[in-house]
Amino acid sequence: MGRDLTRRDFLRLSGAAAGITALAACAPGAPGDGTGVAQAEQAVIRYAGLEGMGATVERFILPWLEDVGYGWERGSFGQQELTDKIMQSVATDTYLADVFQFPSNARSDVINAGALYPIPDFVLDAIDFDDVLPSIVGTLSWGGQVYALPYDGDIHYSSFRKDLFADSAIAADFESKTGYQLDPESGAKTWDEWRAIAEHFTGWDWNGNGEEDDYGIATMNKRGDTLWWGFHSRATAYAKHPDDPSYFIDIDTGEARVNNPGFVRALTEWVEENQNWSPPGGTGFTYGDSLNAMNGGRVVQTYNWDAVTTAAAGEFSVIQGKQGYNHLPGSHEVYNHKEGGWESFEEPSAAPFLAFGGWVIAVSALTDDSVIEQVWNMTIELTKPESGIWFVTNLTGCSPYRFSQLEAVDEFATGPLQLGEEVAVDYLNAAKATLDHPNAVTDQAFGGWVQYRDALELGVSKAMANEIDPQGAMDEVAAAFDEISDRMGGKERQAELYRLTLGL
Amino acid sequence: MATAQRSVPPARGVLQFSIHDRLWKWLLLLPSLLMTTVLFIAPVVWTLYAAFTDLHLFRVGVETEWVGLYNFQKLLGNSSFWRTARNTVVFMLGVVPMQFLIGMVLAVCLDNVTRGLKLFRTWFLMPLMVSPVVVAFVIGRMLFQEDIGPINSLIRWLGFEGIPWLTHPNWAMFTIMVIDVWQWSSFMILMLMAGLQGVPYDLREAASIDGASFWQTFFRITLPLVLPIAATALLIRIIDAFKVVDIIMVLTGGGPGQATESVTLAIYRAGVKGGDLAFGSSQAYFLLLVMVVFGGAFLALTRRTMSQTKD
Repeated sequence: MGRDLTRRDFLRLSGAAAGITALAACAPGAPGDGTGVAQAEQAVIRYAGLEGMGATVERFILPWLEDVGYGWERGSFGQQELTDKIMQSVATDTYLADVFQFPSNARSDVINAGALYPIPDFVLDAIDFDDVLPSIVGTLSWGGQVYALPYDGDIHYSSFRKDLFADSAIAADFESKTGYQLDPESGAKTWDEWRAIAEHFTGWDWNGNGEEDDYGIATMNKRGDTLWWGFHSRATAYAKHPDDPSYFIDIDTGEARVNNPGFVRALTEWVEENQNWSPPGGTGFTYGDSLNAMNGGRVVQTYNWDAVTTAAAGEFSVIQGKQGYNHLPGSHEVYNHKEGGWESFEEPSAAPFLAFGGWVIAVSALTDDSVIEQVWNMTIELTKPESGIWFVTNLTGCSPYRFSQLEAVDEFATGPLQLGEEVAVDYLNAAKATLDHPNAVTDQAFGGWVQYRDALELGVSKAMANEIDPQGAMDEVAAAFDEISDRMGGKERQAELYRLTLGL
Repeated sequence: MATAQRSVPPARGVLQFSIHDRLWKWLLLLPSLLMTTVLFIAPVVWTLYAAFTDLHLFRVGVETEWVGLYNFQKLLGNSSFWRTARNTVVFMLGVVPMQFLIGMVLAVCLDNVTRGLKLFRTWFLMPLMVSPVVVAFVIGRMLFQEDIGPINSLIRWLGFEGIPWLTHPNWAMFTIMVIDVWQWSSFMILMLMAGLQGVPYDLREAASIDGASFWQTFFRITLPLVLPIAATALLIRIIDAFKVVDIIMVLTGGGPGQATESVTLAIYRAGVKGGDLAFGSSQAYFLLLVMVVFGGAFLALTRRTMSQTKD
């Protein structure tokens, strides 16, 4: 059957179509195409960041933005979501924001794709870039060019119950049983000491609450959470030789190294420690669980990022002022991969892990020319020394990254964190000892880091669940690393990228 | 032709468009066809193409190449993938029958309730309205927390050892199943209640008068009449169970080891997070194939059962 369309019907349809077209025309231009900004009188800076950290940035920067008359839009994402969004926008060359925070491990993927503006000299001068620690400069640079601005100097450091280690009765008992001395100034100097401490403090009521809830350690072990950093912090002392810059893969051949005896020993010990001397569920602890166990006064030692700041906050902690800090423990034996054997060191060889490397601030290469000047001004305001000290001395999740911040004992001791002088000095010394350490291990950042991370987390997690023995687990991880390297363009290419991430 | 039968001339001033019926239908269908093509068919075809290449989202400066069946060969020889496939099937077989059973029992009980039915309906709707991530966090990570969680505290208070809910491979899968059953049994209850309300009361009453027992009435009259809606509910839940990802991600991250990793979580890890779109696509297609085969077999079985019941 045919159908008649009246003129009225036709006009209605035409009107509807015209209306839709008009609405589309009136809608703001797509971000990045310039129209949205160019048509507006006020320059609008778009920022993408984590929910918590982004809100802190916003709170900090809004008064300044109002003073200078810039507009502001903030995209807020969860941790995994932000990284995924950034990587997808980079891979598809689509605009996400003018300024975004991103994990420095992703620098190879992001910078190599040409997704960032190089930081101009006038910005570096304005934020006193010479004050930034060299190990942090490495996480901001690529091939000698700076592409990101410092915001957070993430590292893992050891934290321990200084008050218990200073208790003479406990110390005497510990020494008589283990042969080691408890040192309240340094904590465990080697992983052997760490293990002795873990075993000694498990199973008796040292926290005096009358309950059987006292354990030696808590570390981050959950797959898909922060296992990658938990494991490598435990492994670097055995697997990173001071004379050899390679750690994850060989910098010359690109072959995976993660199944050498150094890594296997670390995994074997880590599994044992977590199965025997950590709280119930400890083999699957998240980063937050490990912090809670420490701050709740139920374990005597851990290694972590934010142990000092959260321990200082009364709402999270019952151990304020009772913690000591140091770089990660070392080892008298280190596996020399090139020589193919273990090497003994009279003094423990430490290899502090620059875990994660911190969030950095970057400017998208897709930022419209009409706002680029305002964007640079905003990043200067956000990362200049006066702002930096505010971020690291408040409960923001940011850790020190400048020489001047490591000297700012008063700001940490009496500022918002209220660490007190003793804790502040310990904390800053631990940060300095880690960030300045000649054998510090830079986190994996040579491209495809998420895949390498997933592969390692799977293997280690299998060993932790006794599904496979540590050697078998690390063999699987090594095979997966090699396959990922091949898929990412070949082992030699990955080795070249690795050298670049190490500044070689 | 219908237009030829028209005898009344068009009113003055009315512009007439005579559009053939078939053309008119296609015109109306066009927006939906376009949307379906752009949003569904194109991505599905593109994903199929990706599965035959070495496409990687984060590999800069290296050309993407056609690799034929390499990704599928890799998939079939990959023990990790088969482990995720096994986990997914175990999960589906563990949760769907249990949800159906709970749903049917409660729906039959509620079918006889005359007062407060709306309250029960709302009550049972509530778990469905909560995000699985929230359910996994609140029930899973808090109630089942092994160290200081209330369930283990109670077990220890009773003098038993705490249970490794999330760190022992078998217990972890069990915990995930419990949470999924808690959340999605409500869906079965609501669907089956709707089905039961469609069963004519006089049929059951007649059976009762003829001396049929409750079970005879249930299996011979109620169940066959509810079967179409029960089959639909089961199919929806089976497909959902094959695609489970959220509660696993929050609760165990796929661990301990690989004990709880589902195929969808593996696809997410490879394709979305890892950027390996080629391998992720091949996994996705494999899952799609399994679901199509399983769904088809299930529907065929259901049709056969229904036709036998009619006979």
